[in-house]
Amino acid sequence: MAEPLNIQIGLYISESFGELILKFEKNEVIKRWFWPSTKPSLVLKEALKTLDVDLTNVKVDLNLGLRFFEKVFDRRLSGNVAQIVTSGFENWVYLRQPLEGPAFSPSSQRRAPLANPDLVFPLNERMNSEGQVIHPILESDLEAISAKLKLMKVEKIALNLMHGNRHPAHQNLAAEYFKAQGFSVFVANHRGGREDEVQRWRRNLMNAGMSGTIEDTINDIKSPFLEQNIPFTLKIATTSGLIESLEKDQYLDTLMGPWHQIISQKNKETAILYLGLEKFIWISNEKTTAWNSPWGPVNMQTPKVRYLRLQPTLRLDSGWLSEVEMSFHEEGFEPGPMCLGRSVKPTVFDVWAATAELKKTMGLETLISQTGQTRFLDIVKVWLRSAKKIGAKDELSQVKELRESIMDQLAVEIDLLPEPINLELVGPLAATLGPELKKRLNHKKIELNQKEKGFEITRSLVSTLNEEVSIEN
Amino acid sequence: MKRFQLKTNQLKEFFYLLTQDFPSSGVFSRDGLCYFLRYELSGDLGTMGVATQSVVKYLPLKWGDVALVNDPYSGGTLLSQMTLVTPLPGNLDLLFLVRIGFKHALSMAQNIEEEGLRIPPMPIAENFRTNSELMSAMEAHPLCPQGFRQKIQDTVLQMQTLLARTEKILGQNQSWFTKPTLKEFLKLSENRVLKILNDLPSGDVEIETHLDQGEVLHARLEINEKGLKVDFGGTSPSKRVCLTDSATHGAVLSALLAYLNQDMIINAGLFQLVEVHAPLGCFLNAKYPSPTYKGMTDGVALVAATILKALTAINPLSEIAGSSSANSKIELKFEDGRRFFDFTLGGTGATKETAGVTGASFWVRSKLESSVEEIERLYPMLVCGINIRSGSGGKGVHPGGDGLIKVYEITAPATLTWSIEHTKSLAEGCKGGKPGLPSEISVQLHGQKEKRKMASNEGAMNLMPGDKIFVSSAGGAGWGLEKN
Repeated sequence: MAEPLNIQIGLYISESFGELILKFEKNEVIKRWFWPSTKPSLVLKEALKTLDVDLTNVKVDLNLGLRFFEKVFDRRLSGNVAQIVTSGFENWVYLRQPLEGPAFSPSSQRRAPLANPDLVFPLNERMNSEGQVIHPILESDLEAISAKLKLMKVEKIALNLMHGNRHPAHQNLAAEYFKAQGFSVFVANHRGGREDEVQRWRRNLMNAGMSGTIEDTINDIKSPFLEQNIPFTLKIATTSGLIESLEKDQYLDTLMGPWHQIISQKNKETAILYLGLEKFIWISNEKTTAWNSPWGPVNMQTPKVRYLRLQPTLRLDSGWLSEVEMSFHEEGFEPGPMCLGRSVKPTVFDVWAATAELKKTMGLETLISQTGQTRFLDIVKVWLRSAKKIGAKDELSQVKELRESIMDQLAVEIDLLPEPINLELVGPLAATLGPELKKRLNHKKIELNQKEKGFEITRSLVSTLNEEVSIEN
Repeated sequence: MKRFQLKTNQLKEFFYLLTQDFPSSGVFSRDGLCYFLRYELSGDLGTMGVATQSVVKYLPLKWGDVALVNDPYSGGTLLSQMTLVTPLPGNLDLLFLVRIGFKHALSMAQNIEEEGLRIPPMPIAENFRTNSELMSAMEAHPLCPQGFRQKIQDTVLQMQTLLARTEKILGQNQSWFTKPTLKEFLKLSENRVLKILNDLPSGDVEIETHLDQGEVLHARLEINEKGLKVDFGGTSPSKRVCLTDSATHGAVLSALLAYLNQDMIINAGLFQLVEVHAPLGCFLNAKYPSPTYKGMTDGVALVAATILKALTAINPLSEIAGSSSANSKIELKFEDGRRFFDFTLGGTGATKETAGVTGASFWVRSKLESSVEEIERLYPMLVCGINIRSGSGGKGVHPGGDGLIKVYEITAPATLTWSIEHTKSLAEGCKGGKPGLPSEISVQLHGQKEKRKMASNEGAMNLMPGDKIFVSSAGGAGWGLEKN
């Protein structure tokens, strides 16, 4: 039999959009789509069909980047994870959650906790900082907890014991016991930097909470190959590189995996500004050991990133100074900006859509609707009716002024970003906004490589399958 | 309100971006007029402008110079909070202020010089070069905070690097960085606050609060569509608590912000509408060398809570039950010189809509997070537990937030010092809601079953290995009469 032909795939699933680059011999299939409406498995099947090749004699290498979980963090994670924690610290993770809302506001609250309060179980054990046992673990205590969990039909356990990282004897004993009882046990290992039990325990709870969804997504992606008996290897981008088999402690590392993947292919003097459809993010080569989650810092080794103040789906709303300002609320893509036809809230994205800048952006062709755009211009007309504007004759002129102001703000924000020396603009909106930003910021070293047409993240996934890439840590 | 304000919005966004990496920071004119402010502590609101004025009074400050001050009598707050001031580039003669915090120790000193290193306005950097001799002199002071030099130098570098980038932006003749736009920005901000005040009930009220230590706070408030006036005439002299007048001003402003309960831009547009009079000689207008630690911690929170209560008495729709605003503090000083300091937050008061929050303070938004594992690695002690003090929140239709209970066991001899509030003067309930439980500190000596509750709010005692300390913070008060 002939040597199997190799198909290489880079697949990137972000909050609302998926990107695919499929390489086969000299052919390439490139696609961006709104994935909540079409599963990745269907897109993969379609892409394979377009190849004129006998699929019984192929082998697939697929590198996967997953960032959709960032969207999920607006809500609480899976409610069916039990937290077993050193007795005396049942509420410690929750108590260390910061208050949300304006400072000094009597209505400030903590957001819903990571751990379901009904599923927190104290374990009577204690080690001190030197590893000496203060209270030993009793099997009877483990049995009692196990029995309760089985009654409640809980399957996953996040085991959070004090000093469990440096002195894991109790942690290992409890983990082995619960695994033997059939539970899926999560234990977080320290990832460098400050040793803080709560940052580690948050990580553990997040790993446990997101495990089901990540596993389902990976299974969905594997399904087209399994169904057609196509041999394949699947690696997932994490902050430790591309991993074939995710450990339980690595689920959260996938969140920053695509950033690590792209920045590790650049030299130390380059930072990336990702101008995505959902997010504008600055990614540097510097590393940090804590990620600022909505619940507080989480221990994670990750490239240092900064989310820009200006985000593409920021609502334009009544603010402090005027009736039309950039708010702090992001609409996302469900239902999304007005130009998609499903929402009545104007966004920054709508300004660019109204000035016809997004027409050629792949993935938006079937999403942007004429009705939605007309609705946005109607809103601008309403704004103008009571505005004391001199010179603005019609809604399109006003939109252009708004656009100018937005681009000014974006340029100032980019100019204030920390060094290093080179800034590379990537992402789906880089082609649209990049040339003008380069002109406005001509005193900075800004690179805009239009070759990849915004697919740089996905390209960074597929490129490692073929070329030798120098990865600097 | 106008539909579009593109230039003033750009100015606002610029200030937002400039200050986003510094939780306590601001942009001021040389005479202390505030254009934009971020704050972590109540005291910040009233003191940052005064710090700017103090610095400018004594130091010429040109581009590339940085001044340092922490003196409460020159616009500082706690001695562990350092304020750095430097000019912004551009032709508008503005100053950029950043305040950074160091770990502070519990102080029972009788005068400010014993509380810590007090720094009047000092030129910490000139023409982009750090004044190394001055830094060394400060570092040599026995009460200089740990890590002082490194953190100050790092922050100065961070500020200067950021401002160097700002210089390029502002050098490009930005049409929004002009005196008229600055003026318009303040005017619009002021108009916005006036609009909010206009929609609220006007009224006046007199209120009195007794502090645990014996001070009496007396205030006459008047709020209307033109602003807020607070007269603290009749307030007693200090027995233990001392605030500077600028910190008192900050407390009033934070109470007003809590009352208005909106996301707001903080600048002179708000400040100009608030008038505060604290007579000389009362504990709210202390003079050098009065110690200010207790005032800048518990005092500010208690004043803010009192003013908030008074404001909500005028507007019953926003009435909020009392919070245990002052936190419970302990310090353990070990024989080898190590000092462990910790504070425990109480519960907040309930409102008409929600229960109070457990173990929180809405007067302090610090990002400092204490780790049990780190404490046990650094100090000879075991943290036996940190948990919710169930049932300590006052009962009500909406209960007050619970306090916390922390239990420590020491493994080496130490002197325990403590300072707590809310043992006698409990946060009051609202509309029939009940007060929460009071704070308490107890000690259980090794080998004994019983815990001994400390009778006084402040004190010190020697402890031996195996002794345990129980810190129970007060609960917030409830809202509404609970039906049986």
